[in-house]
Amino acid sequence: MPVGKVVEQAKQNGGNDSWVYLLNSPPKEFSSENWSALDEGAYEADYRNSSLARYYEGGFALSVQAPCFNTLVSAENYARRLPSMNANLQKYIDYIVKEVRLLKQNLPAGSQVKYLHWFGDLVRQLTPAAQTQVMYYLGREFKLNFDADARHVIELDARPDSEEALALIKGLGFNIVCINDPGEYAQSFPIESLRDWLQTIRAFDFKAVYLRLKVTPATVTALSEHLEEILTERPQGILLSSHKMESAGTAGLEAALKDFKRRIKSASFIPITQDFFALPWTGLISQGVSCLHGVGLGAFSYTPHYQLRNATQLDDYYKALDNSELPARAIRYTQTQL
Amino acid sequence: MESKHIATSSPFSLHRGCHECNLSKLCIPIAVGAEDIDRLEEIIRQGKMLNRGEYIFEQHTPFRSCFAVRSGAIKTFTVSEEGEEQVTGFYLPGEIIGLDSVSMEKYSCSAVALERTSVCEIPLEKFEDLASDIPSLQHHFFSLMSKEIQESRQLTMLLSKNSAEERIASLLLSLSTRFSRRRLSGTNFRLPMPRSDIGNYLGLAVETVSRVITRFQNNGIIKVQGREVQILQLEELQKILRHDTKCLDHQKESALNAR
Repeated sequence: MPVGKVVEQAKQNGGNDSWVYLLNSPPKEFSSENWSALDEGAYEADYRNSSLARYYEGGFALSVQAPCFNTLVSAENYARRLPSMNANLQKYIDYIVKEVRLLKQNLPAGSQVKYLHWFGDLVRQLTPAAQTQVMYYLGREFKLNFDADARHVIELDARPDSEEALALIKGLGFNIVCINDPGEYAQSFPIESLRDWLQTIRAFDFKAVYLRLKVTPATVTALSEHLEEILTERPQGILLSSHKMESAGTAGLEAALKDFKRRIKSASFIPITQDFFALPWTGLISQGVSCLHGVGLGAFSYTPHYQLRNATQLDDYYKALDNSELPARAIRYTQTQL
Repeated sequence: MESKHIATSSPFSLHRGCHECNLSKLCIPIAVGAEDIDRLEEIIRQGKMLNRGEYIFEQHTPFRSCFAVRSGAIKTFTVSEEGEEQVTGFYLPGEIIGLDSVSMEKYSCSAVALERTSVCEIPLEKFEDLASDIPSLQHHFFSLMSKEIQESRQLTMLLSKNSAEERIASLLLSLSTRFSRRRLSGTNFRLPMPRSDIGNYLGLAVETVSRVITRFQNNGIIKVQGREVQILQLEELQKILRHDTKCLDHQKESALNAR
């Protein structure tokens, strides 16, 4: 089904046209878990007919997403695929650049990136040169704003090997760091050294540091033990993820999560949503952006009405871009929590 | 290979192409096969000579080209709205200037020759066209750019955190490393810049620069005569830097050389 028709349908269903983005995780619910295939070329046709363009007018969020993470592979497969991805990484980066340039061509003139977000594993996967290449083309195509009010967020799933990595991301123009627990994809997430990690990042004078933490059986004890010392470092925002709390036998985790939220609030953090807490006056919510566009293999894009997913197979992703088509392949409806 | 002690103004044939240039292993052509160097030479304007004090480009003028330093030395600086000059970098042969402006429409700083200098001009638009045909060239270009970004950010860290001794030690070690890269002596070299520029660059008063250099001399770490510097105790210089000092480049290369 062409995307434009999907938009009209979603609007008839009462979709909300504006939301706020929090750390690349728009509060969302799906009216259906099932993805529908996008008709080939429908995406581009809708851009041409301006039915999508209105989401981008006045500014949009752009998210560069790591390969594999978002392609529905298991943690085990993810680890296995990393080396093969690395071998072909430069080709992948060149195609990311292609997608960025194609996106720019398809957007209404003057579309501004108001919020930039890089997924967590990119710092680990990409060489400094590759990171520079992607940022260079993003900056050039979208005339990124590098002023103090810019919101360029980079996730870190693991502590960088050296301070040079932090120097680079700071130098590339990222001004907000989001430390992200990648959950099952990480062999271990160092809750114990999180405070030290926060201090190292702070030394590079980033505007803000956010934490996205997963409360799981593997992390709950360490989190409980170290939460106060982490809060002492005053990260500007904390997102407590509880995605897997529905499964059986998680009563203890639910209690722990409740306790963590109470302790976070006691430390003067303000609840923004049920899972997200922020220091007062940090102004971390990016307002006036109703669309997040994801770039990369399997990348997700969000509008207030639906979610799109890019091709999840490399060959398919490359083929779409070789044909000068944006690589969105699947769609499903969304409803915001706000 | 034995290191030689030579000044920054080494004799180059000005119109020698990338094929014959001694610096090609540091510069853009490193990524290019012999068959593509001719194409590269077609877009690069080689061996433009500049006298001391002459500008290569000026801040806020439209960005068009990067420049590879072929001989001599260049300083880059910005001028604030209040008219204050801030030195942002020193560039030696084999290094590229202007990389910090490639994603902008205008040069973010000015560049001026510190001594008689020759540069090769790399017009970015033509270079991009060529690089799209030669992926290795493009990737090398971004490697150089990422290195420039890292070093510039580390300098910011250095200036915001470290003591005068650490800052000067870091600069001397940085110069030592960069001369070594060119297979020149890393312990005997001539400072291409005056002490006032060193002070400005490191955020120190000229008197402080002189005082620290004298202290280093008195401790037998270096020997200085005019602008000629001899590093007598490289390890002591490294020790002056704290463990987390930002002259990582030097530490890494030292480790590699030690292997």
